[in-house]
Amino acid sequence: MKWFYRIFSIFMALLFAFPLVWMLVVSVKKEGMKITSVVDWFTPPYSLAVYQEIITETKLIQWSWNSFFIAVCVTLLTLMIAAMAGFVMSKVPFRYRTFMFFFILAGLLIPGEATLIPLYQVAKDMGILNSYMGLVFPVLASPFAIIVLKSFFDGIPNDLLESVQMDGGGVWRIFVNIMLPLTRPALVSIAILTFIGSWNNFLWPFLSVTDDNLFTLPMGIPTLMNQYTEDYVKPMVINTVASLPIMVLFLIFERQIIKGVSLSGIKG
Amino acid sequence: MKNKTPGYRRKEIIWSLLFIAPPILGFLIFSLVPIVTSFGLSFMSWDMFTPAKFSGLENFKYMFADEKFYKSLFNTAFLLLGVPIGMIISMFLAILMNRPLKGIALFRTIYYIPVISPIIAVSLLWQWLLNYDYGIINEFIWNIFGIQGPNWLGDPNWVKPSFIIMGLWGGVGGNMVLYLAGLQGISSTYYEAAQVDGASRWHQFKHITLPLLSPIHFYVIVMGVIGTFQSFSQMYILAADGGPQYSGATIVYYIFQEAFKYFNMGYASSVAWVLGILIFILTLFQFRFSKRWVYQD
Repeated sequence: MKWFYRIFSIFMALLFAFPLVWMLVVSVKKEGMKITSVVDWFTPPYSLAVYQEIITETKLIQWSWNSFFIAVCVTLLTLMIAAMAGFVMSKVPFRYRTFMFFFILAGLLIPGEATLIPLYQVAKDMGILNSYMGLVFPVLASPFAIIVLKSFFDGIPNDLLESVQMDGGGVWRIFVNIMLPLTRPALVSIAILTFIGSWNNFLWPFLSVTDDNLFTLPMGIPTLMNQYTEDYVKPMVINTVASLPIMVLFLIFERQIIKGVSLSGIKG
Repeated sequence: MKNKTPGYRRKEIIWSLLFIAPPILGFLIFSLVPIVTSFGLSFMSWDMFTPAKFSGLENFKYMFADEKFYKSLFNTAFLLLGVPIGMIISMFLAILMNRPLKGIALFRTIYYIPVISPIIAVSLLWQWLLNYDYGIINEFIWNIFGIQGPNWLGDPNWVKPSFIIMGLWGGVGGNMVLYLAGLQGISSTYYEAAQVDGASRWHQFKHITLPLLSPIHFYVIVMGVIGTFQSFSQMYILAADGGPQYSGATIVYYIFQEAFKYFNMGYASSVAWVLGILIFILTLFQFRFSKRWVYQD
């Protein structure tokens, strides 16, 4: 029985790893080479020629920068907004607070698809279509991050706050000096998940941006698909460029990501 | 010292309001205004360039007579099959992962990497894996079984199964992690007690593991249904123009085509609203129904 589990696990893992390994291997092959059997994977020559070709033919470097820059902005701003709101919702009582919390929660109930068309119009009216701002702002108010962080702030005892208040510390000082350091693990999890979500986001950038200087990597992928339908090396190169940074990030922060995901699943 | 001075309190409230203003403003501008506008638009005809005209229920009449609408609805419902299949596989994998096997962390990483990969990249990758002539999957089928594999993305009967297979590959790892967390939360005393009573492996699974995992089942089903109803990117890459005989178009894809290809903004809004209400009803139904089977401690 133990052998069965062992072999089965390995078989499943190979099955799951296979497509991505194929992608990586193909991306370092030469164009027009036949890669049909696994043996071909391990036979040289390998080359980065196609990478070079794509970098000169498309705006790959610019797209990668856009993806990175937007993801960093979205992550930092989301963290700031969600932490501040989650903190107030958890620790500073005042009138109408519950009402406001429901207001934020309502954002979870509204399906993104139903708002996409008018959102496009709103962005157009604000003049932020085809701009970094248009890519960043609409995705910031994440009720999900606020709720998760609120539940973390709930776990911090009130005594701690009161002692700072006794010393004359205001809301800002409590927030920066006590709340943020104590919720660091949660903040890290949310930061990574937000970064990945932004990096992978396709639908909104795809609708709101037409200028290819502002493309993110996921938007660059379809342009290559239409151009070169015959050969699969080029598509796999841009695929690799789009996926590899996220995979590396995942390998580095795997523990925090898994923890964040399981927590949100269990609490949600 | 216990009573705060009114001045202090006022300052605290001002800070608090500043703290929660951004998400509330964001919600107003990017959710509430659009959803209200969208509701209005669904009773109008509007092409974005000329002023919108009130058209009453025309959009809805057109929708319920449009064959493409029903097709996209059917396709989306078909893709829901992936939810239970994914549950079974991910639970099974989680149970495998929950044993003290060597290299478990590596396995978990392998199952999870597809989940965090960009869906567009994943779709393009699978387009090539599933290619009828040069795809490596059909190559395998030919080498192992000696038969020609299906025309995955070109045959209307195979497009949806292709989506499901790709969805399983890209989604099972995420649910597996949730199930793993669920399994680790089950106290071993239950199993010990069952063993004392002589319960078989299967009985332990059926009467302990399965019911105690029910909150996870519930979460996985709810999120799976919502996610399926919202799927778009895969279809955009793998089923150009809805695929052969529109067999690969989901509702969101249909909305996208109507809005941003034909510029029927008013009509697309009404379909979006129908979709929103559909998701809402399904989710509500699941919450209602959940009281009967989800175990709460």
